[in-house]
Amino acid sequence: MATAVKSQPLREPLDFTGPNFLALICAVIILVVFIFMPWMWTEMKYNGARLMSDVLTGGSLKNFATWQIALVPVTALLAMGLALWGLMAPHRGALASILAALTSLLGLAYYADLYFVREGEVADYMRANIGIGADVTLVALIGLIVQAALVYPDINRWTQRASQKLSARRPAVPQKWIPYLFLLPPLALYVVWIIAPTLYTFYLSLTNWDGVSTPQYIGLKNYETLFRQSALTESLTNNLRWLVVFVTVPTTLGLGLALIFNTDMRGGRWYKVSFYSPLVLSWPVIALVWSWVYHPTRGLINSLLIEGGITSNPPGWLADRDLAIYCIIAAAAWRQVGYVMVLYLAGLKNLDPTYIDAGLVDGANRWQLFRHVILPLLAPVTTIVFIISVIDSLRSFDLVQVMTRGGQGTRVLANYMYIEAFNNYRMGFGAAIAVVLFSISIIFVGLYLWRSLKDELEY
Amino acid sequence: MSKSKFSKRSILITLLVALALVLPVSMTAAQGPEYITYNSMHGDPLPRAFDEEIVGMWNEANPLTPVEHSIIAHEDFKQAIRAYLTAEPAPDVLTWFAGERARFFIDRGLIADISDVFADYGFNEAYAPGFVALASVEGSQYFLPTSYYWWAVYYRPSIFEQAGITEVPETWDDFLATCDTLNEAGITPITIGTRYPWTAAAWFDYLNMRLNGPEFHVDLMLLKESYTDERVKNVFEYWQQLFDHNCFIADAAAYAWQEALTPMTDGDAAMYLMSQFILDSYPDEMEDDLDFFRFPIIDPEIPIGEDAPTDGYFIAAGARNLDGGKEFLAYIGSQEIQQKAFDEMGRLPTRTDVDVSGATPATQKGIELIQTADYVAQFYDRDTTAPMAEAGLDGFSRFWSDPSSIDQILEDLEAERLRILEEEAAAQ
Repeated sequence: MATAVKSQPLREPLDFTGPNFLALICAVIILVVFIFMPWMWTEMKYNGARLMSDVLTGGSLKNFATWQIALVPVTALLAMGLALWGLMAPHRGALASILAALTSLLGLAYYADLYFVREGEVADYMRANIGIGADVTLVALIGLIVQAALVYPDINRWTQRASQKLSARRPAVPQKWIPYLFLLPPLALYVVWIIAPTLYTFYLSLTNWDGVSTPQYIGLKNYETLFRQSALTESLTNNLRWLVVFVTVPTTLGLGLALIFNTDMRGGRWYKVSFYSPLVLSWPVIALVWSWVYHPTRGLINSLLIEGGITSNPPGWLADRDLAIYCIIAAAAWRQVGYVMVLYLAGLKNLDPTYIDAGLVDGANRWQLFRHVILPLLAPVTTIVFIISVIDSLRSFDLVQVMTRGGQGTRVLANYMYIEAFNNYRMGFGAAIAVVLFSISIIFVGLYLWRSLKDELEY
Repeated sequence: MSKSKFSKRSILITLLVALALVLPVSMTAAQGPEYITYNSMHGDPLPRAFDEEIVGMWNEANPLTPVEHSIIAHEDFKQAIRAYLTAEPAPDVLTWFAGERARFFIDRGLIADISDVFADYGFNEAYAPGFVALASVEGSQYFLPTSYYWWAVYYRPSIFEQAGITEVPETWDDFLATCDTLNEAGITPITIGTRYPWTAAAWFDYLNMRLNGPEFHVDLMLLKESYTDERVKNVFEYWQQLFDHNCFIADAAAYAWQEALTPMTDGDAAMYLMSQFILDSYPDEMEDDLDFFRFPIIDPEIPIGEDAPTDGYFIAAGARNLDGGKEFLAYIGSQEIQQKAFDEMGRLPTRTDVDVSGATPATQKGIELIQTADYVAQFYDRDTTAPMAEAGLDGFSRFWSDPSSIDQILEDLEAERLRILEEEAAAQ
């Protein structure tokens, strides 16, 4: 009987993917829980990572943990490495699995220390207030040990058969629902984070909410006040200035640079990168850098003007009410040029060379080639660039906020809204400004959508 | 076969036992931590170090009820405070300004009643009556005013000497003459940074109090007087004289108040209308060459008003740990900590039992400055309502860059005042 069982030829070599995969899952669970779940008490901000960093750096919670807490992430990282090693080198699967179980002891040492070794008031308090994260981690650590049991041949075969049976079942969801099921999570997020707040803002703009009391419905009063404010005119004018400069200057410069760098010139790649690099910086960083450039006494521009003997009394740039807004727009345009250049470069790369060759055969000169062949072919890119520039200029906020905080006559709509809502505590009024900004933006966004949908239908 | 069956069962049992061990542990973890949250706006080096030190001392002494301390930059704190106070739960202890700024939140029920702290820890007796009154609304205390500080014209005696100025100006004409002398010596008379325009409001406060008296100033702050009044216009005419005499540094709007110290430390500018907290950011090794004088008197018949803003602490009504917060507040308000604050930062104490005998001559001069004043105001943006303050500060910075538009500015301010009054009337 026994020999008959042994001689069965159907037995496959043992597969350790299961145990290794389980170890990986446990290790990931430990790491995620350590960072995101409350290690003590019930609030997420009291996670293991926070406690560990407070212990190691002497932060305010240093009394609520001991250095042993550092064993937990170490265990998780080691186990993760071992599990991955086992998955990638299957013939070592059994060894990896057993080693992962052994590392788990390292993490369990933390619990042993907490529950059986440590004494005193603080330890009692820690034991009494342990959070859900620490419990889940303990389960995962035990899971790390349990997975090694799967190395035992009979258990391994048993679980493999069970999983085959499970996967043999077909899902009961009808085929046509599947796309909608995939769409559901992003759509739900979209409704919760975009659509609902937008509608709520519309409602708030009809109230006198101050951010604290209950909002009271006051009809269109906010709009009546708003349209009488000189600040609105100032903001709209500034947005318009921004828009005009943005649509013309960076677009022209960007197209010009793209045409230059599209040829195989020496060091062209280097120039492209240097023009593109401002785009890597975030708006507040650009704002800070340019604030220094514009510094009236020590800034780059004025130092050059004074040292170069050009003028002894240079303008104050950001401190000059007439210049400030243009200084800010110039800083914004500096970043935008590289962006537009990249868009046009991509457009140029996609041009069908046969049209250009045909133009050359017909005897077109460079200008004619550009004016009648390249530019029309770039029309879709130009539309995108135009609309992106418009939208970017409407939502400009960061530069103004950092460089002048809306002083010196540099208010733009988004900034005006922010100051009214969060500085002056007039949320309802701020919402009204937001609605005005939204109404202007929606025209251009609609244009963009209409254009891109039309293009899609054409092709 | 029987062997393998046994091991399957044993694994199951092990798992169940493990689960059984762990589950009861999770059940006990419901109770909340006893920590206290403390949000402060003390971002400048000196107050920041002090703040961190007293929190450290508390955490040493109370290992199981530590303070969670967050320091938020001053300007950001002012904007974020509404979010803090309406959050669920709100931070426990916060720093703030006495006066209208605190009153706004008290009226909306966002600040906790701390009368019991005042009673239990003897604060009613220990704090000067004027400050207890400042902390009270209808007999209950809501605010712990811990310190105040004077405003004055700070100057560098060595620069005055260099320009041949022997006496500090006491009258308006002296002041203008001082500016002229400094200009002749090639020194900018007054430095100021108006990127955050509150610094300009000090000039408005002082000119208004010197020209029209504290009483009118108070009424204007409470929106009882009109901004288009001739007397307000007069303030800007005097202000204009300072521009005519080229008193101020060029491009003031490009600097924050700390950045505007640089011309002074470099020896390019002589004076700065600033508060005692100028020392927080002024280089320590240069403090010997820094002195101050009272803002010049324009009309000797008019009572003297001074700006002396009071800072302090309060507990949010929505605090998660109300009792812990009260204990920490009592600790901050204790004699030991306030003595320490006085010794290290030189703010004027509001507790009467703080020993000020060890005060530096500068601090003693500051105490005298306040004691000889007929009226003590908080500050423009603390005495008037928040929306009016914002409009006013904006108006001052507009005036600064374009003095000729003053009539339009004052009309706009008046329109804003009427709008706020109308809104307040509608709310009642």
